[in-house]
Amino acid sequence: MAAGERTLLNTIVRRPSRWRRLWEGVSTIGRSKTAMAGLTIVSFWFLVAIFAPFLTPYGPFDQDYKLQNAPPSAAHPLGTDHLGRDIWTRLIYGARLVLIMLPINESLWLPGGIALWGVFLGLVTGSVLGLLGGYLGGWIDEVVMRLLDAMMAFPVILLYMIIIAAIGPSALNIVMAIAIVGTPGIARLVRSLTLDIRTRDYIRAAEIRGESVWYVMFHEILPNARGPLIVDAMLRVGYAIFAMGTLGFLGLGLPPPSPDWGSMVAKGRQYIMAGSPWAALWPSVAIASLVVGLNLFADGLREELARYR
Amino acid sequence: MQTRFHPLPPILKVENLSISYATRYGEVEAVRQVSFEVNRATTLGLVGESGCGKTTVAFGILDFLGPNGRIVEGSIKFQGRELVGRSEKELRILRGDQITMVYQDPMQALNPSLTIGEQLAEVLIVHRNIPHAEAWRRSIEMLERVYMPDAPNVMKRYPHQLSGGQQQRVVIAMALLNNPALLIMDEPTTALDVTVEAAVLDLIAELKRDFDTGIIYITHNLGVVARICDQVAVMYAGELVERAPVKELFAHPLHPYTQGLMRCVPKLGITKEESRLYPIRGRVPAPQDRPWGACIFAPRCDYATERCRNERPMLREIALGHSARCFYAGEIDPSAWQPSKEIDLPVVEPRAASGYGTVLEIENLKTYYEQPSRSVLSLFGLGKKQHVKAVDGVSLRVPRGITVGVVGESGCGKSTLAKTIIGLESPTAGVLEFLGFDISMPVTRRDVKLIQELQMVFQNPDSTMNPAYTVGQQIARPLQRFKTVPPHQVYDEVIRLLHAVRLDPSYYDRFPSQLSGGEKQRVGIARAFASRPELVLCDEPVSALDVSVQAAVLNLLLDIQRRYGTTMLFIAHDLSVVRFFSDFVAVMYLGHIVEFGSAEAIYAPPYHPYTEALLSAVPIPDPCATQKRIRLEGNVPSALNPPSGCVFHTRCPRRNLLLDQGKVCEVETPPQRYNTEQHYILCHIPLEELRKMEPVITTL
Amino acid sequence: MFVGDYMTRHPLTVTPDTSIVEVQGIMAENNIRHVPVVEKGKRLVGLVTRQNLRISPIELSSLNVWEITRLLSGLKVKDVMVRGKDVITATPDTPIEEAARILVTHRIGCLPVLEEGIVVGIITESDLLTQLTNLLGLQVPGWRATIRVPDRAGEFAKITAAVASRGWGIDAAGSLPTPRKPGYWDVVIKISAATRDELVAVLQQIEGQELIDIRATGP
Repeated sequence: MAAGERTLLNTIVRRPSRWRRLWEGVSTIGRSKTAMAGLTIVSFWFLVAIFAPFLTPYGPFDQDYKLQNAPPSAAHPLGTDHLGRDIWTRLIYGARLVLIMLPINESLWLPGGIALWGVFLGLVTGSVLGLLGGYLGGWIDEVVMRLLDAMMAFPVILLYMIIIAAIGPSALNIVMAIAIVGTPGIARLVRSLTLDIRTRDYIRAAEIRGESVWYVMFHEILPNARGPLIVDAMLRVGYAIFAMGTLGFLGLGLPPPSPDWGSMVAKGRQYIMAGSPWAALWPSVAIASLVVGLNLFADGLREELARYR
Repeated sequence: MQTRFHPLPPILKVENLSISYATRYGEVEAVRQVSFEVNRATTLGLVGESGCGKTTVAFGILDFLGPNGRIVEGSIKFQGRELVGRSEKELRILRGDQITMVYQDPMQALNPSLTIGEQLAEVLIVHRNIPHAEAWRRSIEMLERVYMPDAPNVMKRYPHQLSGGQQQRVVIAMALLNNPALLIMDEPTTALDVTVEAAVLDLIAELKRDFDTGIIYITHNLGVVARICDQVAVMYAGELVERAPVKELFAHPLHPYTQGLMRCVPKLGITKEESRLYPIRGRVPAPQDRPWGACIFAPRCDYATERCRNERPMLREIALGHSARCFYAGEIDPSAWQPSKEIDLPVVEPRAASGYGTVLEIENLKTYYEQPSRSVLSLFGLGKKQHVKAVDGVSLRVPRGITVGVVGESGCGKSTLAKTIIGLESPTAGVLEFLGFDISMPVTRRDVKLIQELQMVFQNPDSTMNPAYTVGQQIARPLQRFKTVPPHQVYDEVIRLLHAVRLDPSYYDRFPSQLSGGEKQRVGIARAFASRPELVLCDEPVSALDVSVQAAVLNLLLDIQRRYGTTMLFIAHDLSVVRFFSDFVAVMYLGHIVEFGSAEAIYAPPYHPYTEALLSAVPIPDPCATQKRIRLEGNVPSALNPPSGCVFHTRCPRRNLLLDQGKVCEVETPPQRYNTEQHYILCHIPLEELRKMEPVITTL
Repeated sequence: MFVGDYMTRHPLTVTPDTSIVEVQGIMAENNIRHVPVVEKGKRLVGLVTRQNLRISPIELSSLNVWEITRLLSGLKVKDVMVRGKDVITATPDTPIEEAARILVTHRIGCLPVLEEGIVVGIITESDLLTQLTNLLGLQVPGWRATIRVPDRAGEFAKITAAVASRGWGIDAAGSLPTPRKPGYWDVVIKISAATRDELVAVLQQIEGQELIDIRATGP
């Protein structure tokens, strides 16, 4: 076949197939009302986080001593906190930390928020451990799973506190904590998926091609586990956000004056009785809505995936 | 049956039944205007390939259509009363305990946490208000009626403690305790071994007579139909295309689809040269793509005319009791049929095994699995180790360029043999040489060059391909890994391979979920042949496919084999397929090859008694063929503790030919008796005795 | 020769709540006259026959067309059926002649066949008459010979011996005391293996017996 003919063939054959897959994916989500509701909430937070500087005239650390613990007004749509900082501004800059930027030090930050990075790292370690245990089996499986079981025996909050207490509160360390805490659950999930997938004939086919263990694990098994894994990861981002809130509330979150949602609630809590609940209310609403949004999205997605399996 | 002067009304009368499902494509008609009757003490076979609406019809009768299915029009009269249009509660009373269904998987009907006895007796206690002791007694009687050995004890066991055949017997017994007027059986023997299937079919035929039950028997297997059905209704793409008494249907199929089906199945009764398979081109249209105002079979029909494409034929009676949905039924002469140009047929020629050199040499191969004993001692590594002797002393020489078929019931060790050769299991002892190299090590430690020469085609089309990659990527992988062609030629090579398995280049970018079972299997074959291997193992490559697709895939394999000169080891349980496909056949039982010889030699006397029993169990798609009736008793013994002497002596129906009822079989390992240089039988009975036996199958 | 062998299994049945109109339809369509009434588990609760469905002429004359229609459409099987205890029944091991006697003495047309209260079949006059025809070999084509024999032991054996000596088989046989001629029995045998002349020759040679009729019968 001539080269020109081949490219022509490629354009005819390949394009529709890919676009169609993308379109089918989107329309699958679109069919589920639950998933759409979740997606709307989550996209809202992503958008405000990305465009934060354009959505407010204030900076997250700008203080106004004349307006402490003010109720919502035209100038401050959600009110101000005890230092007169605009709550809306702090909220959307807080969302950046959670979702789109991970500060390493004063000048350097990585794209992708603390929760996302934490879950991502958890996914990497969890998948590797789960694949190793599930595919190789035997004593490797025993050792890995017993170790992870031991970790799972600790209550989650306690585990977070131990880890943060040990390595100190910083953005990077919270990422580590989220990753470590998430690993056992992800590993278990990947292992159970692997146990099922490794019985399929295409794994036999790869083995009799003499493929390496790593190839089989990452090229043959992992891509087929991605559906449930994506759904699980979304739920985990929700848990991670919740955990961040908890840590912040307990004073183990990002050091002040970072606009950390958890520490905002913790500070604002002192003024609830004083007649200004706003500083505690709005961050709580933010945490709750984002977690609920992610859960709805994950549930909807799972249902749709299960329906057309 | 006794003479009657007025015919009894049919048990079930289905007229113009149409069923549709609400799907994401809108309302899709799955069954369209189907009509048939089921009489007392007769079996109606509902035949067709998968997706033809057979099971939907059954579910329509039972009102199991689910929330998205509904009966659009038509009538179902059961015992004289209309079922369509009644409320669920009324239906329950009407059908009451008069219709029972038996599924393919017996475990679907059995509760794993209750004993067989509890489940059987419950039917009588709950539905019939019969006291417990009486119900128990009757349940035992019924188990004995279905030839369950040791019935009183079986009552106390749990379902998982029984074999598949026994479970199916329990389900049938349970169905009969209700004394139903109508029994619907959906592929009840498809999951069973051929010898067990034969026994269950015998049982069904006998029960139909004794209980005057009307049976709807749903199956895709024409052999089974020929053996037990009285009437046959052939379904295609949701329509009933032909309806006739069984002998009439096989003698004079009227509809082109039925004729096509008959040409698709390998037959045992005739010689190998005659048995060519002619697949039906194209595939069954999906329910949403079915034409309305045209003959539904026209796109695949060799006789289609303009009229067929513009007008829908009605089911009309051509001979007495024989109807077909075709404008030209009765005018078409199937014997004058010529395969159309679109189907390529391989040349089937018998090949001799000499002078080509040996590809695979197996000598006294043993593969044992360790089974941990259940005692506490084993926790500390002190327990007595037991071994499952899956392959126990197999010797086989496979010459280049020929196909060796391996047949046997499940558990005979044929799959373990394949796994050992391919390197997924390590042999316990024995010689395993491939192209003169030792390959008795796992695949990971074999040289890439050897791996490349030894590939495999798998059984299950749904799991043979990785759903995450496109067809092209999957075929390209072995090419890249073994560097069969330079990197820049990989794409062209894939296209060439696709072409070789009769798939057009547009399949390159498709995902497995977009392919039908037959297409997936073709891709699996392309992948196996990509590295141009010397030897390809085929593990039941067509057993999960529909007959028309099966024929196409078999022809394809033959064709590719001839083109590449590949040697093949073909593992299957279907003796007719093996015979059609193989030059040599090895019959395995409990880890031993009990008979080996050329395909012709295996299917004619002298037989090993086991081969004889297998052959007499195969359902033959010809109601006029006569078959010896030999049924093996009991189950295949456990390979943990195989019988002494001849492994087959516990079930051998021919032992009595020897002195002392075959005392010697229990003690001594049987000798290999050579009938010809290339045909041996592992049996104590002298060949002269075995030669005297009649052929199992005789056709008129 | 028991009821269980000759009954119709899986008879059409109705429930007590079925409307009379529907039952009439079922009877007409399937050409039957009796329908057992069952409740859950196929337990017999009654029987409807064509007679039950008739409205008496006296009642009929007092109603107009609309009233009749309304009356009929409102009626259920349970309003007209013969009730449970009044239904005369048989079991599968009742001998068929016993079943026939019950039918004749009670002047009824059918017996539901019960096993522990559960309907397993029905046996009707027509079933029994069908078996009478089978008893005399109507289902096989052949020669039906009627022979009058004296009422004493060994006479039937003479016939069978004579037939067997020629290597023929007796397809069916039956005997009744000759009406209005005490001391004699009429024996009917059915033979399909012989020609008429051969058969006549053999049967006429038997001493003390008289061949009174021979004819071809068959389905």
